[in-house]
Amino acid sequence: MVDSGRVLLSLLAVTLLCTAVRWKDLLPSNNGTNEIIHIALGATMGVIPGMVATMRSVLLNTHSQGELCHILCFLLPLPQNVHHTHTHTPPTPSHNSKSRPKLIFLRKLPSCISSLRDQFRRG
Amino acid sequence: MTNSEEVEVLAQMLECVGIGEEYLGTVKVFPPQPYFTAAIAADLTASTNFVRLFLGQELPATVSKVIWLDSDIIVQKDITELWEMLSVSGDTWTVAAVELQATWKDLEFTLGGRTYNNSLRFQSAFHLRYPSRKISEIELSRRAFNAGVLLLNLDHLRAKESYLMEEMLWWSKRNSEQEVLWGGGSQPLANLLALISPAGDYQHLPTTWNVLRGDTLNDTQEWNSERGILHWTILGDRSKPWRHDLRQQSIGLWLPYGLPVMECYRLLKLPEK
Repeated sequence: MVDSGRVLLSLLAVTLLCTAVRWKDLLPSNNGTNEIIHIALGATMGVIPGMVATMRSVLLNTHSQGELCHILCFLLPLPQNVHHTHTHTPPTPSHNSKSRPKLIFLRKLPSCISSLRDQFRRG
Repeated sequence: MTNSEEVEVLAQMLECVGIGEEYLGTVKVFPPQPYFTAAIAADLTASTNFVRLFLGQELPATVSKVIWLDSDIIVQKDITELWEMLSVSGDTWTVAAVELQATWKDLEFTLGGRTYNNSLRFQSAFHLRYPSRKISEIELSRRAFNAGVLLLNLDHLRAKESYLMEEMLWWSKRNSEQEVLWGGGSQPLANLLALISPAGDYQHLPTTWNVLRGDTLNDTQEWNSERGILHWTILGDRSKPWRHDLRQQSIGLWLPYGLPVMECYRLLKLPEK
């Protein structure tokens, strides 16, 4: 009877511990404000490598666990008077650059951060 | 109608560096805006340069504060530290940035005064736009800021029917269509934005959050892994880190972040020049 009571208590403790961990995951970590960090970046085609490197540097060095962070990427086409060659994807057919819209990507990061960190550690 | 080429390249590069489609939240397509034209970006030819000034219009009203980052920088510290420096609630700041360290980079220089020998042009445009204000309100000898890292109070930018953004548009058009007041892309406009904002100035951020390559003669002391943000501002064909000369010391701190990106660049067979 005593043994089964101990087992029951142990199970209860484990359950409570797991619940606490889950609650911790759900609770905001940003000083309790649950504030989302918004970061905006912008690039034309030639600058995309720099933008992705900037993004990686933010992700790899933001250590606040559970932080919600949105990165907003403004992608714009090159102005009409700038020519470039692109061998991988066929160019979009004859859009006037003044009439082409820009796009925003919104990204949620926490799991992304850990994934990138793993990759970073592997080198 | 989309700029699908750029989107596809970015998506492929993100996927390649480990940021897959599963992390893609939303894609929004916006109608063109007046500042989105190459004409306004006359001197730098890249309209992305000016997006930072209009984020109040571009981002949802639920977003009150945003950090703008140029793409020739790396962030070496937790960005949360920068984010938490200023709050929008009950605060008077509109623009926060890092002061330029070189003593000659004052507002007069930034607003085209010495480069174009046209302080008079700026002053006359200022009188035209703000007849009731005096140019002496602006201390042109004050140090300007670099606009590559900005903390923006979007609530302020949207206030009073977004009049500050209307001002930016007016000055952009004046510079590109009427007379050349200044060069340097959006930097003069960002400084002007701070000057005409309710605060009348920008909020100074610690220098560690935008250490510029080429701003001072003490680069070698300032350019290290302890700084919050490093920024490759030197102009020139091979000055940007993804086009950099690998023999130079300064590139060493970009490579941990940029080298995998460039490996993906080659893998995707993107343009070599």
